[in-house]
Amino acid sequence: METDNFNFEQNYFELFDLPVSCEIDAAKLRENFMQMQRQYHPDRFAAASSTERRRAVQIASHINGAHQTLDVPLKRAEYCLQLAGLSTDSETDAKMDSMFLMQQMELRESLEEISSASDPYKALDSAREDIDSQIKTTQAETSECIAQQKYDEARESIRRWQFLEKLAEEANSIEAQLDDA
Amino acid sequence: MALLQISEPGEATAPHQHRLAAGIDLGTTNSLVATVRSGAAAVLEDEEGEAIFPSVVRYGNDGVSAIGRQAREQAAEDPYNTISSVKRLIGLSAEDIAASSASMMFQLVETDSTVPRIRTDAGPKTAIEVSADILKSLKARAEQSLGGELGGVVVTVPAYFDDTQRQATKDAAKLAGLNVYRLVNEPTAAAIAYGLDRQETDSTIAVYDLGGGTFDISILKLERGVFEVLSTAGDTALGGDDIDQALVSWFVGEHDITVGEDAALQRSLLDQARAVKHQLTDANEAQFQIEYQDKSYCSSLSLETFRSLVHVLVDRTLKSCRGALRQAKLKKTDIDNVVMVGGSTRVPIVRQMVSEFFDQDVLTDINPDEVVAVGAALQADVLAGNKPDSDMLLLDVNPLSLGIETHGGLVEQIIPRNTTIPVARAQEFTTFKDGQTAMALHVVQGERDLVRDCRSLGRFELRGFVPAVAGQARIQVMFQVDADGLLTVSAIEKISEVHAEVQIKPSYGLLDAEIETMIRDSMTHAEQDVAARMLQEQRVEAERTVAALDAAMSRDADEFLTASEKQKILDAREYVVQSGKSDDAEAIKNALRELESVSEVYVARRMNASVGETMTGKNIDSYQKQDNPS
Repeated sequence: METDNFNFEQNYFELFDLPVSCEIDAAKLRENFMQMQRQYHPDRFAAASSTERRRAVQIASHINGAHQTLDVPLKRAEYCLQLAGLSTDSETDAKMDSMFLMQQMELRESLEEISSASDPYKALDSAREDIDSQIKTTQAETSECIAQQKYDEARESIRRWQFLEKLAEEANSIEAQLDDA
Repeated sequence: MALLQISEPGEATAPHQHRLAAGIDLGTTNSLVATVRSGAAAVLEDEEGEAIFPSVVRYGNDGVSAIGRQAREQAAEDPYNTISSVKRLIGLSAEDIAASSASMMFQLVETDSTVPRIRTDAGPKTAIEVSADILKSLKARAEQSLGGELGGVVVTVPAYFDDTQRQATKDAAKLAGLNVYRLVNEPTAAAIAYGLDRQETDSTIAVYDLGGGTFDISILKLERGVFEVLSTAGDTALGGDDIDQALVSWFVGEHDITVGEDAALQRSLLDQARAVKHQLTDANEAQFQIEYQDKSYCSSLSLETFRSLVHVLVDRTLKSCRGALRQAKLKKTDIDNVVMVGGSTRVPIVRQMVSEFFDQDVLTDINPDEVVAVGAALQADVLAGNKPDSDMLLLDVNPLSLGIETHGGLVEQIIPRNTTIPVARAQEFTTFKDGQTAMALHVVQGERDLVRDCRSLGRFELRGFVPAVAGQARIQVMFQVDADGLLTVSAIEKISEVHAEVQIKPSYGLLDAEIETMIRDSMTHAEQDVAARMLQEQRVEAERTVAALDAAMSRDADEFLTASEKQKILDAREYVVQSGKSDDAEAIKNALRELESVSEVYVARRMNASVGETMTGKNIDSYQKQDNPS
């Protein structure tokens, strides 16, 4: 059966024929992802046996899960670390440098003040810009640490990144609130 | 020496058996079936050349007595047994229905079941069964027209349908004996019909669907074969019928006619309104004319007046369009294509206003009644494997987030909305008490933070894990969403490798062991306090019940009942007949209640026998334990 050949043991990078790295060729990921879905999507097996259909659902789910992991920069970085045998569980106790914590508090305050700003959308945009630029810097740091196999430092940097992504999410929900008001 | 094999370039050398496939648009007002023949998709017509199949079923004592156009034409004769717009009910609980505008249209039987039943002379019917009867007719039409058995079908559903509604639609297809290749979102099917999935560049598509009784606007993002539904909005009580109604109101106002309860007059007014509407598609003026009580009424309707009447209605749809754009965080100018769906989009003023709103030409080349069925047929043809060279791939996304209830009635998202499907997510849980061997999970669907604002899909009990210290068990629960967007859940205790026994209580699905306990009188309309009316209704009810009972008993009383059970029912029947002769509504009601109570066993056994095999069990089956694939 066509579905028998699928190898669930490959890591996600191997699956899409990409080198293990935080920096990936997005176009190639997309292309190989579509190629694999064309081969294994359950629709290809709509008229096949139920065993094969069930396997196709499992394979296509695995491919989608892998793609969703590699497609999102933060998840991709976490996965790189996981492949190196380190956990990025945010509940693990770790020290945050005080400088970063200060910045965090400032960003959070500026988010809280948005709803009372004279032009809330403008305030939101500027807060977002701040967050985005910090995310970019952190992403670059993480990427470099992982490339140099400095995994402990990478983990620190990922934890900061996780914080920033949460702030970005908060900014989005503030926007939704503004839209609904 | 082998002879040369001759084949078309690109054609598979192995002989491929052409599978018969069809696309079905199971609509609220009308349904259609289409198929691909000689490379082109077309809707299938009945003997009289009609493609549109009204989604109307009339039930008599022996089951379906009329269906489709015939049932719609007879609707006025037998409104209680003629079920239309059943799609408004599918996958909903009795409470959902009570809270919606659909409650006025159906007489529900009060039951202990989670799946509501509509009262008919053929017995209580679930929306799934009524939909299945419609699908059976479409299946027969397709098989007759294609000259063979259907290999499989694509059935379309509204983009906003949740898991329960999708599951119920699939159950209806199964009950009709159809093999469902895939459920496809209606707006997605419309976009496929226009070939928008084959565009080179990414695009954003608005699908404007103004049907007979509902309006839907969907914003889709199409990125190289991945269809994502960005947002949907609409109005379930706005459609082409409102245009007709607006014309009637205008005409009635012009002539000061009192329509009242006169069904025949209402009917001829509506027929005339439709005719006028059609004439105004390419004329500047039309005559609205009816004969009533030997008098002739006539008015000339100018295109200008017509526009002003329709304008108000279209404005309401555009309001929904603005809402959908806002939800999708898009501007009008972000929309690359606007697809028009539904017969009412033939009205030029509708096209014009939508076109002006989106500031572009709208797509109207394909018959708007047929476009969804045509797209479904194209997809069915690909799925049947009739186009081995096609690299068309339709990736869909999970329309609503799936989550579980955590402490304090909060929702923890497991699979967020707009995740490409199929998808599987594993979540680990542990015990919080020493020696705990079971655990309950509540699965919900929706975007809100609180469980009570989301839709409950089901409750799961995981049982049979080895007793251990609190926090030591590792129960992995796997949530699997298939390509149709349907969820299955499985669980495994990882340390002992014991598969936890999964018990499901679907919130609104049909249960395997479900027993119809009682059919109570649902005629509790508070406003019906007029005694005479009550009496008349009770009498009709008594006649109807006795007739239904007689019909059933003449068929299978001996199969399902012991002699004494049968006698009890016959005694109660006689009591109903006798009290039916009296003028005491209450007495008839009590007699009926008594009859219903003693025939409870009989009804339950019959229901189980007829419904049981096909309709129940799937919820359990689909949740059967699976190995973790990764």
